[in-house]
Amino acid sequence: MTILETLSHLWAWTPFLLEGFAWNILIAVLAIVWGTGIGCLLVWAQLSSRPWASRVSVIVSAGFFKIPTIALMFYCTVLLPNEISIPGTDAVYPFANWAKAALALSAAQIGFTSLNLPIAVKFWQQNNRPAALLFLPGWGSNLLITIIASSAASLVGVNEIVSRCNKVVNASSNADLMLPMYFYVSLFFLLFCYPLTLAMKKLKQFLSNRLAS
Amino acid sequence: MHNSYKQVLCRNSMVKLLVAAFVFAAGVCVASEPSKPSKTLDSVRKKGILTVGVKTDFAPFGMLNAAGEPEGFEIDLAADIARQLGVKLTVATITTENRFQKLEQGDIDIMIATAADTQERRQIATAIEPNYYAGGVAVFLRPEQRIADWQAMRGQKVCATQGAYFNRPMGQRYLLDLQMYRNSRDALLALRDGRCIGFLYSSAAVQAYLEKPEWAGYKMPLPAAMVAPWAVNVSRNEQGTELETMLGDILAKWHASGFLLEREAAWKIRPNPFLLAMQSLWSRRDGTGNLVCQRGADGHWPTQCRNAAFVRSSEVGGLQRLGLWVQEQSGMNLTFIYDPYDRNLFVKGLMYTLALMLGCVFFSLLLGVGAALLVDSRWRWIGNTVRVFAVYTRMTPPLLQMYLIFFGVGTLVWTATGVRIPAIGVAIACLSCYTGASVMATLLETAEHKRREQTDFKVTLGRMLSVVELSAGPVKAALINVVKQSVMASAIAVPELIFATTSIMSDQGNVNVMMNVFLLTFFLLISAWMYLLNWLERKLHALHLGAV
Repeated sequence: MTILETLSHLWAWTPFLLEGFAWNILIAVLAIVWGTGIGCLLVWAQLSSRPWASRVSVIVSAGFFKIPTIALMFYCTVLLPNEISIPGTDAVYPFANWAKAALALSAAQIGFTSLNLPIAVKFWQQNNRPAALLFLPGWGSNLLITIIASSAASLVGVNEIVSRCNKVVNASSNADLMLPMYFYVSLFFLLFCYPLTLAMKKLKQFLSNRLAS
Repeated sequence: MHNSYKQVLCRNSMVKLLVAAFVFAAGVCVASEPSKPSKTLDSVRKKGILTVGVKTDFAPFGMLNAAGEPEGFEIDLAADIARQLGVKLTVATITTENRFQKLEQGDIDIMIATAADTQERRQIATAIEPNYYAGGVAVFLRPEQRIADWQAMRGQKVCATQGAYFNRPMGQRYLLDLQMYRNSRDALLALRDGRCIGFLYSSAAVQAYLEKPEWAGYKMPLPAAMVAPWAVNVSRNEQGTELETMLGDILAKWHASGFLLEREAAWKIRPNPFLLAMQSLWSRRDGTGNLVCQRGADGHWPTQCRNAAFVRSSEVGGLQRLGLWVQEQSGMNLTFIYDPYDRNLFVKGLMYTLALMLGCVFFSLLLGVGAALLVDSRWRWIGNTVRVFAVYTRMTPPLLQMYLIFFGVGTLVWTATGVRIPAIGVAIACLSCYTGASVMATLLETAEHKRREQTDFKVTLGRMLSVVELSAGPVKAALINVVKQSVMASAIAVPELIFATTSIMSDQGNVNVMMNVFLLTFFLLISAWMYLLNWLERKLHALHLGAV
């Protein structure tokens, strides 16, 4: 197989893989949004005047922090129902594996939010805006880490990019294609995440400088 | 009262007395509880005819020959039973749907029809122990597929037949996208048309398809899963009768003498490890030269010779008794504690997980420190190469790197040198590179801070401990993260905890229990690691190096 043939093969599968990558991004964004939402609830409970509420919140945050995302993903896909009905209504919503994977991935974000948001809120109240805004680059880096971690959803059968890549590799009878294919897919992540990482770094530097001045 | 006294006496004598006494005592014990008379056996002897129900649609176990008469592995077994009873054999053709009904109605005396031995079926019939064969589920793959292990089946479209006992557990375990068909013919057609990549079906049947020219190129590369033993069945009213005992003795002799292995070979069935294991078990002798598998005082086979799935708590002792008692009381099936096989699997999984975690933490630190030294060294070009490599490993999923090395590079190395890269090594290497890159970045950032006060500051081996101390927080976070990520190794078939848990729960069906135990185990493991790393951090701070 010449290099040109390999490249044309990779090109042919690119739309299929891109569609898979869109799933990765969707899952990661959903995980971050849910994680931030649930994290905010926990922070609110932590700061509440009822001691039991803050105690429960601390235990739940620690629990989420101490369980590996992938383990949680298996747990969610196996034990959570495939459909959710809203009590009192006839509405039944499907609860697909990709949504369960997103829920599992949100655990890390829950931990991050419940740890860092109270600090940010305190700075904001002290009118120290740049210090409070340091929450943002951390939040952004988490999104990138979650996009990379979302590849684990392939382990629970979600049809995202790594799972599609495996399918193409398994279906093709050409063993020479395996190495280029996996490398090519890894470039999707690299090209998406690296520029964003640099941007987050810049933002952090900018805020730190504002803080110093 | 009298009976139990005799049993106690027998048990004691078995432990204490030597060979002659043992044989004598065993004889007394067996003689003390003779089997109940059997109605079926009486009528067979009276008529001089034994009617055995067999299948004729499951070659080469049961099929029709050119003359339209049933023949095959199971028909040979039926013939041998009739020969030993000294009566004439009649075979009756039965099907999957009506086999247990025919037994209940008394249309057949004995059923030998590829019936898996399950708890539910034991409610409607008497299964003879020992089991005579074991079949599992296999996947019949299209020629162009190159799948090499069950894990790679995740999310794949697979054809299956409705009502098979393995559909649900296999679907759950490997998250198969099952396409249900009404019978095996439809499923095979769908497979041929490429509507699915493989057909999930009984391994014994798939082996027969492989022999047929019309399926040339199709294959069965994965080992049979969910292997379940098959049993000869008699009516449920025959429980504990002379018929059950006699058939059990015949089966035990079949295993010990190698008769079943010989018939298996005669019908060109692929050698089944189950039969080999059973032959060695049923012909094994203890230190005194007696068969290990001999009926005890109660007429039962010893526990180690029985199918573990059907042993009740009253029949065993020790840990197993406790575990079965818990299950009978609460419904919680803790097989990973009391079942020796599952326990080994779980302990092995735990050991692999610990080894992975240790390896990842150690090499992440080593690579991170080494990379930081190289980047800050005099050799510019080495430093830059390391930086580029670090960006690549940090910005791509370690899962993908593992596939890249394990399947991509691994295949190249295998064809070039004949050396297989061990999966656990690949997992540790990839995860350590990913985390090592973060550790490196943290250490370099600390060095950058240091340069604000001391412009010529460089990371050197001598200053390493103090740099690590100053970056202890983020380094610790990175190490905790890699400990959590180590679970990923299951993707390339490292038999760690996820692997062990999914295997146990798909065989035992105790999904809730296993999943919660699994989560709790990880919670404890991660807690222990956090404690350990915090302790190390305190020790490091106590050295007061950061001020240097």
